[in-house]
Amino acid sequence: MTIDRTEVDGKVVLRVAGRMDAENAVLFERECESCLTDGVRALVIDLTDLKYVSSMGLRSFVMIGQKLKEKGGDFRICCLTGLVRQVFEITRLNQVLPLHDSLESALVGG
Amino acid sequence: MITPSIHSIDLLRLALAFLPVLLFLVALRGLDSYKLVSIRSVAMGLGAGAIAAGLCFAINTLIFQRFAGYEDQYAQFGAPVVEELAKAAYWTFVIATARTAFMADSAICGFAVGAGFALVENVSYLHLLQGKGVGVWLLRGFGTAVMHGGVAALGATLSVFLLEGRESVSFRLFIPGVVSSILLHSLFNQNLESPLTSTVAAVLGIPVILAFVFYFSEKSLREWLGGKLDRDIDMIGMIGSKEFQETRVGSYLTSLQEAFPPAVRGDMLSLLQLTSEVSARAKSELMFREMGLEVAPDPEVDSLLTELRYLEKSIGPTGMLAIRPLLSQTPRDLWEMHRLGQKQR
Repeated sequence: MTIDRTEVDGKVVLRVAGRMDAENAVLFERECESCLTDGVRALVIDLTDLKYVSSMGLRSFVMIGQKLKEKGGDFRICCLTGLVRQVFEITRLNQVLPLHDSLESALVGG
Repeated sequence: MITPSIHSIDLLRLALAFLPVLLFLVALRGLDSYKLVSIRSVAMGLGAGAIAAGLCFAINTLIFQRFAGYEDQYAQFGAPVVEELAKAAYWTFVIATARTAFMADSAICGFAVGAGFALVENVSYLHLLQGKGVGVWLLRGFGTAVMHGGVAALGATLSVFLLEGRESVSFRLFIPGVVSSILLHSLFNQNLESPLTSTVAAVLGIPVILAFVFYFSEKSLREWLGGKLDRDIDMIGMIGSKEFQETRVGSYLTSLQEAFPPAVRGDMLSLLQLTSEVSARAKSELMFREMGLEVAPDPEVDSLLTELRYLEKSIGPTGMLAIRPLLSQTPRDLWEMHRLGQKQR
């Protein structure tokens, strides 16, 4: 799994690609934690190239979302495709975390 | 059982004996971070315990009349058998019918039955212990109530532990749980050192044992939840992939083509997908609850469960047997389906 960090309009975009299994979910959490430590309060996760997400990955998304919310920040997820979108819909994570179809819409507002 | 001459002071003593048990029950429910047991289930457990106590009162009275002079021996060896069997009738029912499947929720159900039993038993003792001191009431009321709740909780927990990972419920596996609750109850009634020692041992020992039960139950539940949710996700991914025919599920379904017509094999595939989806919904909901999130009730579950029932009927018993290796139906899975079905009512 790879994570690319960029900054767009004052918001940090993490582009996650590959498979987010139990082991990689920890790396994702670590990257997000490091953003929070740096004072980032608006985080957008681009999942265009994420092919798989495990239960640990789902936990990580919820946990980071909760942490940002506690700090008054904004956590958005965008560009879900294939199995990852299906898993988010089946587990109804889309009711817990705001999902966006495109990076542009995720960057708008907030 | 209740005589008209009950004094208000006795009612106060009853409350003194029973309130800590109720608080203990509330604390047990609070410890359960997955909130697996509803208040309704706890109330049903208390009610079942009260009915069991009424039954036992009748049986014990009959035996005392028939075998006058053997009251002490009966209290030490006979009553624990009758009373624990009466309480076990409820907790074995909730476990066998997959209404509970984890150690923590079984402990809560078991304790609730015991608490309900103790409440009625204490009411009947109001008459016998009228005018006795607070110390006697604490021994008789609180100590015995903790014992009744505790031994039933431990029996239920042991049964769930033995049933874990098994695909079907075997009643033989309930025997160690029932027997151990009888033995512990009998040990309590022996008053080996003094009634005070038995009470102190029960009041101190049972919470410690139950704390361990909760710790291991939550750990096991978290691991099960993660592991099974991943299996569901894998199954959904496998069925949706372009290389499905090459996967183990695809190969297995292909191997059934001579035995079953295409329509039935199609239904088998739909059933596998739907089972994984329903299962993933239930597990993710539990996971969110553990993380402190509340998700609104799923409006689609009712129709999904109806569709599952239709598919099962359409595939038939032989077909269901053929895809059995691909379906996980442990007591925990059954419980999950039961819980989902209940929520829609």
